[in-house]
Amino acid sequence: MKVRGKIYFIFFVQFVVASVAIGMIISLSIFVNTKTEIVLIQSLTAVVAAMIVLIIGYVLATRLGNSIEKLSKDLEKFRLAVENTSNHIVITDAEGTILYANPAVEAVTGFTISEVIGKKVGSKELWGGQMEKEFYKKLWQTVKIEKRHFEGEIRNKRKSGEIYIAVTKIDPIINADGEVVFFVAVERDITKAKEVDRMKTEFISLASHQLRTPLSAMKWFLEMLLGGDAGALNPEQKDFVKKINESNERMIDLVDGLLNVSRIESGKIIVEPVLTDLKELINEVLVELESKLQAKKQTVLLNMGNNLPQINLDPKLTRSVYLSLLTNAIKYSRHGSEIQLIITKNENELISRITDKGYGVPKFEQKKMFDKFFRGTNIVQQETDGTGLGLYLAKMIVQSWEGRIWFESQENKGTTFWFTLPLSGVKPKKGVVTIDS
Amino acid sequence: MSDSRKKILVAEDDDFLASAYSVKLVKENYEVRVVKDGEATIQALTEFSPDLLLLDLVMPKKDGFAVLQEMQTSGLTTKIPVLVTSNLGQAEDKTKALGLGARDYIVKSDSSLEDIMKKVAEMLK
Repeated sequence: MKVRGKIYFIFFVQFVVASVAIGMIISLSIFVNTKTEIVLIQSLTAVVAAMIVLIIGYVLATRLGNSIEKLSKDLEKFRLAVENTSNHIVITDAEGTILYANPAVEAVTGFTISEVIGKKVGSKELWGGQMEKEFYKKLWQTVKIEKRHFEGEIRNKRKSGEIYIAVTKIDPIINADGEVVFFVAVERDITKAKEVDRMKTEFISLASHQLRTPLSAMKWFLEMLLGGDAGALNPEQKDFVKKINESNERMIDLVDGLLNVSRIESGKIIVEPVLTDLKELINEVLVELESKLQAKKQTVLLNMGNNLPQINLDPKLTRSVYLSLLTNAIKYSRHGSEIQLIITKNENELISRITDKGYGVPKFEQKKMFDKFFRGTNIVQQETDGTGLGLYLAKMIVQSWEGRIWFESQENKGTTFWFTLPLSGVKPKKGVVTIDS
Repeated sequence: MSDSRKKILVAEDDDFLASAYSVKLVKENYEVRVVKDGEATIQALTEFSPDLLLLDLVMPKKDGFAVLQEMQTSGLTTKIPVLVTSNLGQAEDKTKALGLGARDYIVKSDSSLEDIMKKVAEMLK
């Protein structure tokens, strides 16, 4: 309403100015004794001009009013958003003195808004001061000296004394002269999420033990039966026991696969790069696959070039990607077929290409290729054995080193997979879990 | 006539696994004693004085890590070789067990009984 009042006031002033202008023209005309017709024409012109001014004025004022009203509504929305978010938001001056704190600050820290306004952010008097000195030094260096965005995990203390973990994001607000005028800090309490994470890791460990124990018992007794420890089996018995054993091994693979998925999804995979001879690693993988290759009378055409550099990569993770893609190539192509493994180099990456002349995947299913538990409908008819986790895991692993993985496939013609390794090496990642291969 | 068979102490709380070990180890001509928790393991170490301990990690009363810890403190890990056979497959668990003096570490579901027998024979050499 205030805005509308101002607009009407402007409109009124314009009206008065226009009226005064008309009056002045008429008076001036009479004063200089101009002819009546001229006075009338002049007055008419003045009235038209005044009306045009009035209309323009009205349109401009209404537009201005609308935009001011919209702006004030936007500001209101913004205020509501800031006040109602569960994220803790604090605005400080350039020295870190708190000028504003949203209600979430009180909900998270336990300190009332009036208790925090005017105090130094990050001080022990409030929720801060729980990290090592180095952390705060780096924080201030980033936001105040380098005037850059800072983001990090921080340990804080609620008014009740309880420690909590938050992700903090701080941005300096810089004026036209390049000086920091404010800091805006947004924090999210992730204590619960951390706890869930810890429980998930614990679950992985527990499930790993609980599920594997009965599978191990079956494995060993079946091994003894097959080994004749309980007397010789007749050929049919031996065949049955072998089948049970194979099923059990599949179950073990499935449990291992699920555990790996669970570990990878917890985002806590340890990436430990070491200087690795890729040639050697691939040869080891091929040795491991030899019995499978022999069983299907397949060959691997290997071309790695002559000057493959040694790069920093996590051998265990890299090995599992090659193993997974090559196992698929063997499994999903016919007896006696050839598989190709070719490694090339571009400016920044080593590109591994694995090609088979196998069953391929129908076009309509290709977008699901890397989905968890996906198995091609044509594949399921050919090979019942498989968990549908291999490619999903391979993709997650390649992404863990920021690499790319993609494929081309044509039904009954074959499939080619490509994946990349950075020539500069894989970056180490601290985590809590490893994968089993 | 004194029994010249080597003595193996099996610490395993799962009945089926314990029984598989017993059957196989006896067939391989070892003298076997099975215990089902950490406390019984500690007791049997002195009573039975084994030549080798096959040790599970997740066990009631005292877990395998605690057993290793006690054995390390009393200097037993240098006298009795310990082969940890567990289904905890994490590198962290393996490092911890080896750090506490275990001689080797095997993930049960990844190993055949034959592999374990070979390891046992090797460690007793």
